[in-house]
This record gives sequence, structure tokens and C-alpha cells, in this order.
Amino acid sequence: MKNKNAMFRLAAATILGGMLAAPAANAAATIVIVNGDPAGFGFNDPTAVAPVGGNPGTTLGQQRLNAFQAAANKWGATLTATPTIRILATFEALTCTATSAVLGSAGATEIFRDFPGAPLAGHWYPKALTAKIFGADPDPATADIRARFNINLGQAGCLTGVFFYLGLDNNHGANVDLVTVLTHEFGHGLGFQTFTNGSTGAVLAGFPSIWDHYLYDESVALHWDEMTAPQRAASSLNTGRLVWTGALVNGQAPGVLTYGVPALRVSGPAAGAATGQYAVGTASFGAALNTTGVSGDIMPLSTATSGADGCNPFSALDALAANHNVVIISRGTCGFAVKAKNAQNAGATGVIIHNNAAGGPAPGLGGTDPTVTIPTVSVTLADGNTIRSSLNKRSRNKSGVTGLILLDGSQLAGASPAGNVQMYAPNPFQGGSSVSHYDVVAFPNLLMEPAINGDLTHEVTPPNDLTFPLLQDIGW
Amino acid sequence: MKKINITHAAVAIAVAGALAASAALAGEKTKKAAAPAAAPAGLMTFEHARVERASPEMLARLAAERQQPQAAAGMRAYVDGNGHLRAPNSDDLKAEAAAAPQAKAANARSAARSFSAAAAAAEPAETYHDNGAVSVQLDESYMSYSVATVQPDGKVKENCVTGQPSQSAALATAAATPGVDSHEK
Repeated sequence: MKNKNAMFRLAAATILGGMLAAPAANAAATIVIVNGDPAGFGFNDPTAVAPVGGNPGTTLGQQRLNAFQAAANKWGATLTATPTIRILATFEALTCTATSAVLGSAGATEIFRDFPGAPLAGHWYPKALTAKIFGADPDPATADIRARFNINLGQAGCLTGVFFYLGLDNNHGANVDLVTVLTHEFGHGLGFQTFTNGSTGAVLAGFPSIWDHYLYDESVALHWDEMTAPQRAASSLNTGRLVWTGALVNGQAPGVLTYGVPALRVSGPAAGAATGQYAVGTASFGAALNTTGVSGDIMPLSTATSGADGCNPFSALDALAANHNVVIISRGTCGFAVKAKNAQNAGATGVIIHNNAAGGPAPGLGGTDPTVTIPTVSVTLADGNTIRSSLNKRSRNKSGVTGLILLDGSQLAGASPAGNVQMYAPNPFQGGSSVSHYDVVAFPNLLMEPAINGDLTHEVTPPNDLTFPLLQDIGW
Repeated sequence: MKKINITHAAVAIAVAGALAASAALAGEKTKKAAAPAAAPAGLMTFEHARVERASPEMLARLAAERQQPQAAAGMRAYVDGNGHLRAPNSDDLKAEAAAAPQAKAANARSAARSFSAAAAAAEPAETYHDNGAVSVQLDESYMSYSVATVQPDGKVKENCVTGQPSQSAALATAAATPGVDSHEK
């Protein structure tokens, strides 16, 4: 008890100190970038540069510091916390080649559980959130977040020619917008992550993370902090059904995400076990999906003339099957647009390309061909096999299995049919990305998807984004 | 198991006062938030963010870290033969998966050079505080990663995912397959 009182005294002293040192009357939180670079390097690089995109820095080092501060300021203006949040940041020579590079990393440095005032016992909280809840920094010797970024990016041999854009206006062109990347990574450091091993399901030191209290598998109807390790490991691969149940995220989702999910509906007298709605990947070519959709009997290719993968012009028999129908083709051998064009030339109304390797989600289909006007979607190998198994009793041009390719307007893009926002759960597991991000199906794109998308703003709150509501769910 | 008493910390903070408290305990030289008039030309001032210089002790520790082999943690980007950012292809991901054990070993090394004097071990070591709180210092393996990607047409719009960060060999493997978009076939 004595030491508990000591911690409360610590909190009171720091709160008082914070009041005395308050930088601004309306400050929500203050974030300090601790410049850990040596003289003449990184943040201290004296190389003269021209101002860019609202960043008035006159040296490269200043512009880097301004970009870091801009990202930190966004969070500081959004969060409410008495203790100062400290980010130890450096630029370093991280691993890279001419075509691939580590851009940078950032994350929480320390976690706490069962501290006085912890909303939920037996759950790990990141340090910055612990400090916010407790009212004082529980370990002033350690920064809340550590950030490392690549000093060589864009130089010869290190993602040659692609630089960090240091402007603050998001006008990054083909370069990497540093402010967006930092805002994303700082989000992880503030708590947008689990500390549980999603690959093995093992919780850290025997306890789940506060994240796990809201991470829910709709297939087994359990939260991650209610599961066994094997259940969590399986859940991390449950694409589309691993969701967030925090009230603030799901309550705000309709104001951020749009309605309309690309889908394939399979029905018909011969559909049998294949009947149902499938999640699909979309193509960068062909007709955009709409809520009306296109339909036809789902027909496979049956002759080698067309190429097993649809890479050759269709034979007469396959053209008969494809005409006015939806063709199902395996991925492989040639580009997706080539397959789609061959199907279109045979009179198909749409194309389903199933993956040729196990896993999920269904991949996006790249490629360009402005002459392709029919829609093309992808499904996983497992889903493709399920659909194909229903096509065994077909005639030359009818299968009795109807495919409808459409945009399902009843569902939020990024939320399950139950209205829970979906979390990233690809199969195979993607270390460092799975579980601790929003699913890539979210639309508009969200800051905390596992990739940085070019259409992101620098915002972290609704109606632009769902990052802050999630942090609020866990205690911010 | 480590157990620490934070009473000293509380006293130190109470004495040090508002501005110096945290930095004093961190062994870092305290600097007041730079007033706008004193800021170097070109360095911006923000309402909710500011910059501090790391202490000499911290700089020395960081300098020592720089001498260690780097665990290649963090976001990664890939470019195609035209210099456009692209999605990682299946070969990239396979190479990274193959390099995962190396990365794990590197991460374990990096854990030994953690963020504070109380260094974290390769296996998470809990610190028990007198008030019942328990803490763990994290190494780089607990960081999350994402990738900025641009389609071959130059637009940044498609999501793709990296695996665990890889080492130079895996990056070299990825570099050997330029211009192949995993979404092409």
C-alpha cells in the first residue's frame, strides 16, 4: 500500500507539473520528439534544401524534424493526456537494395498491466496509454515510442529515386509521404496493436493485450482474451470474420465507411453446397461493379485449346460455354486482363478468376486493357474449388449454377454483415501486419490498414478515419 | 523477475518540478520547449508537439547501437523496373518468409540493446512494481509494419502486405525479380 501511495504521489506531482508547464490552454496532449541523431546526421543534417509543401525548413534535418512534429502534433491535438508522450527518433542506415527498402519502424517501447486505475485487470496496455490512464509517466527513463527511419531512402542502391516527401501538404507524388507514414506508425506506438503473437496465439508473458479484449472472431463467437492459443492462431487467419467489437469504432463506422462490398453470389438448382455469397477481389480493368450486377451460369473451360488458364482465344466449345455466361478460370500463366479479354471475346458476361495457391483474401487483379468491358473478380482457391465442385453436371452451355457479380449495397465496405469493422486476417499470416490493422477491404481507405494508400488524408478521426475511435475504445 | 520500488522516482519528480521531472529521471538533459522566437529559422513550432535533443548519455547509447548489426525492422517498399513503387510479389514474400529465422535472431540481438538502462532480454522479462503493476520492455519484434505501394501506372492506391522484415539476402532476392507485379498473373 505504501508504494501504491507513492505512485499516486508521483501522479499528483506530475499532474501539477504538467499544469504549470502547460504549453497551451487548450492543449489536449503534448508529444515530444526526442532527437537521437548525432551532429551533422539525420535530424541534424545541415544540407541546404528549398522549402517544400508547407515545410519551411532550410536544412534537410529541419525538414525532417518538421515532418515528425507535424505528425506528432496531429496526435497531440487529438489525444487527451496529462503526461507528455515522448518519441525517441533517429534516422539510420536501414536495410535496403535498389528495389526494396525498409522505410522505417516505430512502436511502443514498454507495456504495463495491473497498474492502479487500469480499466481491465490482467491485460497489457502500451506505455503511453498507461501513463494517460494512471496520470503520470510510469517509467520516465524510457521513451513511450521508438522510431527509426531510413537515412538512405532514395539514394542509389536504396529504393533508388524514391524519397521521403517532407512536405506537409500530402502532395507526395511518386514519393513516400513521411507525415502519413509517421502518423500511421505513431498510431501503433500509441496502442493500435496487440502484443499477443498472432501466429502462435501465445499471449505475452501469460496475459492478453487490451487489444485482445475487443478482437472478436465471428466464427467461434469469442474474443481473443477468451480463447486458447490454438484458437487465436486459427482466428488470425479467419479472413473477413475477425472483427473489432469496440462500441466507438462500430458506432462511427457508418459515418466513415461507404456501403457497397464487391461480392459473388452463387445460387441455382445445381449450386448445392456452393450456394452463398463470396468475398471477392476486384480488378483494375474492366467494368466497375454496381449494385445491379451481371450474372450468368458459371461455366469452366474444358478444352486445352483455350489453355487451361484461359490464356488463349477460346475454342468453339469453350466459346459456346462462355457465351452469355460467367466464366471461372484459374490464376496463372498469363495476365488477368488477357484472360478477361479472351472470355469477353467469347461472349462472357463476367469472369471469376480463382487463386492457384491456398490462402486468403482473394487477391486484387492488376493489369490494364481498356478494351475489356466486362467485370472480373477473384476468389480464393478454396472458394474456387467449392464452386467448381458444383459444376459437374453441366451441359455445353448451362450449369444450373448462377453467378451474380455485384456490389452488395447492404454492407459497409470494411465491416462484417453484423456491422463489426473487420480486422486484417490474411492467410497465410503476415507477421507484423496481421491482426493489428484494419482489413484492406475498408473503403474509403483507412490510415491503419497495413499499407499506406495514396488517397489517405492526414486525419485520424471521423468522418475521415477510424483510428482515433479504436484508440478510444481501448482507453484513450 | 525484477522488482523495483518507485518511491524514489516519486520523490525525485516532486522535487524536480514540472518541467524537469521526466527528463531528470531519464538521464536526459532537459530543455524547455523552444519558444517560437528562439527556434532556428526553418524549424517550425507546433501547439501540441516539440523537439528535444537527446541527452549525451542517450546519444552515446544510440551511437553504440548503430555499431550493432541492424535488425531490418519496419515498413518496406518495392520498386519496379521503371522506378515506380509496386506491390511486393510472391517471390518477395517467399524470400522474406525464408529470412524470418534470421530476422528473429537479429531481433533477439537488438533486444539486448533496448531503449533504457533496464535492458530487455530476448524473452520478455517482467518487472514487478511495488504497487502491483507489472511491466515488460519490448523489442523490435513487437512493432507493426506496413508498405507504401504505387501501381505500375504511378498511382498510390493498392494495399499489399509485407511479412516480417528480412535481411540483406532476402532483399537481394527480391531485387532479382524486378518489374514483376504479383497481381499480374
